[in-house]
Amino acid sequence: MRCFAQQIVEGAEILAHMVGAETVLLAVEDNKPEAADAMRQAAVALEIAEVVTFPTKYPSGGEKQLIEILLNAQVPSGGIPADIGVLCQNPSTAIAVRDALIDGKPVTHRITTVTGMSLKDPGNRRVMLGTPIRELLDTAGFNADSADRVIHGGPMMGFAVTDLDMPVVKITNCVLAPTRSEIPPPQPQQACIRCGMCAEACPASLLPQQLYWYARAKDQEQLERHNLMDCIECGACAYVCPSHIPLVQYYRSAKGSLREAAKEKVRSDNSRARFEARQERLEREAAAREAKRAARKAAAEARAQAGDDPVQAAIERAKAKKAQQEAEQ
Amino acid sequence: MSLMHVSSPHVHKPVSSVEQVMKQVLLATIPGVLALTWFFGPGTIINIVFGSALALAFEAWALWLRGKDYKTPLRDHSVIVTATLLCIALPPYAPWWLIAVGIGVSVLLGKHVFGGLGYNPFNPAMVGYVVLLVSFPLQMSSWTEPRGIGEVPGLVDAFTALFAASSYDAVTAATPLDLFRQNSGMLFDDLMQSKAELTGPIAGLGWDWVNLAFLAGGIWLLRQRIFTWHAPVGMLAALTICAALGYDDGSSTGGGSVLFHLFSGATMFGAFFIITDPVSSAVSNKGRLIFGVMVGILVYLIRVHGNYPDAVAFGVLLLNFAAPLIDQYTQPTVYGTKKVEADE
Repeated sequence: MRCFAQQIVEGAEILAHMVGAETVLLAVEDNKPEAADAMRQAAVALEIAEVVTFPTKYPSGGEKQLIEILLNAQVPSGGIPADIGVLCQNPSTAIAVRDALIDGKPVTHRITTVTGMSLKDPGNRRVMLGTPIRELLDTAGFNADSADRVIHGGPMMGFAVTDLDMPVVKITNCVLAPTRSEIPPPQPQQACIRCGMCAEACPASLLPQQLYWYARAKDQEQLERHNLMDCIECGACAYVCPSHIPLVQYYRSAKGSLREAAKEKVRSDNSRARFEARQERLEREAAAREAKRAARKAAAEARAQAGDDPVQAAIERAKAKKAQQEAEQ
Repeated sequence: MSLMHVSSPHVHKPVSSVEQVMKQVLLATIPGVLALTWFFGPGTIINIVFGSALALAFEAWALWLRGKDYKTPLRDHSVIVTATLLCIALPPYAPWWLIAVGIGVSVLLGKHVFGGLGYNPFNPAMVGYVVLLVSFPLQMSSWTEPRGIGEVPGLVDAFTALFAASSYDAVTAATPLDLFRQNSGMLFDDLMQSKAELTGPIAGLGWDWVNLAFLAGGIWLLRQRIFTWHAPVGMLAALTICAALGYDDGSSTGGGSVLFHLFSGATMFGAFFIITDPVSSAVSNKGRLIFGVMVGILVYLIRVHGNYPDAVAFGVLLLNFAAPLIDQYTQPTVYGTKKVEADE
């Protein structure tokens, strides 16, 4: 923000124009006064823009949380910010929009923070997308012996890299290479004592301890009733958990099975609908055949009643023929 | 280097573990235990030491029987907390078998039959306490005279009482709540003047200090964020309101004063150390508030109208039954599911 304030504001202006926004809030964490100052200077160029600061209290930078802090409005459950007339974007997205529209440059690079105690030379780097993480770490003086995990993303929500040949992608905001003493291996999980520290920490007011029980019991009905899908996986619950339970992992897995169950339900609903349609078609065809047969029968009966019975006529004819033969003999 | 497959978050709150939580609870009982020791002699401390040792043995045995690792869980201190809470509730100078039965019931029936730490639907210490109270009412109501009335027993007396109960003649005295329970025909204020046991500055000699000490320990725990204010405040507020409504200027059949109820018996100990047991109480803050309020009401009703002088254990166990029901109706509003007026 300090280096690219101008570009961010230009990008914001384009975005605001595209969606017809009335105001633009440029939010900066309150522990970054220099960035806020740089943004204030740049924001003079955009009349509807205002620089605001917000408390640096994880996860206040999350989209839903930021919207609540700045606008006192909540994104409806299962909805997106646009549902309440808000669009929330990262500064790097704003820069990418600006570069694309003004310079005609596609997103080929991004700025990535490379840090951790097992690096000799940590810092922010402009990296080409597709660069292997190994390459990026090596240029920062990576000491592989002192680290036992490399994290793609931040310490709270990032995921552990399983293969250093993984590339830097558009969402790679950070690569962490901590030493073992900096981020020690996870401690063994203990029993949940339902202390409720997780519920105190949860920014979405969920009951993580209950979700944990239901996730273990695979009780999908209760998981839905306790709004598992509103979990933003910020990790605050697992951070404070005195029993060292990897709560987020349980929620991710449970969310996966909920999604799977929802898909399964759509599939079975579809096949039921197909089956019912086929049943209906078969019944319709049978009914049509039945109707045709009934119509033929009715026509035949009508003819019989009008003395126009072909069988009777044939019998009459046969009788007449026999009578004629007898008469001839 | 080997890359670990671990889920986020990768960092953890420093110095936070079950062991740590339990240690803080144990530390917080110190003022109360010291107050009990000052007024009633070393009996409580000996109860706690003896009870904790037994509890560790029972826990290890139960874990071994269940085919679990029996070394690591012993280090989480949870069973020592259970034993300590039970032993504080027991009368000092209890015979060894009383403590052993209580601890055995707490650890085995209160905790391990349900699956151990975190799975018990009832407060284990209170399960043990109620079993003892119902089974051995005589031994369970033998409190000694507090300092200021009688001679406080010494260490020798304490060990004699523990291991050779028959050869130890305890000078037992009724607790203020016993006297209140048995009162017939005396005005409340007269009753408070009539017996030396009842002439403490607030509510009975010694007991008010014990309650204040547990209150201090509880407030420290609250500040350490071991639990939230909801359950204790709910219980104390409900007890205060009930006592205020039931107070009839101190007639012989009345309910006793607010201060008498707040600083007698196990009020503060119950409010901060018993009903705050997270495992067996309601889960949400609103639920815990309701939990506390209901315990407070039950404590008052049983003390004034029931057969037992004190009622924290019964109140807590009854509400343990109700906790799942409370949970069902007190789920907090989740982000994005309520209507908040947007600034427009």
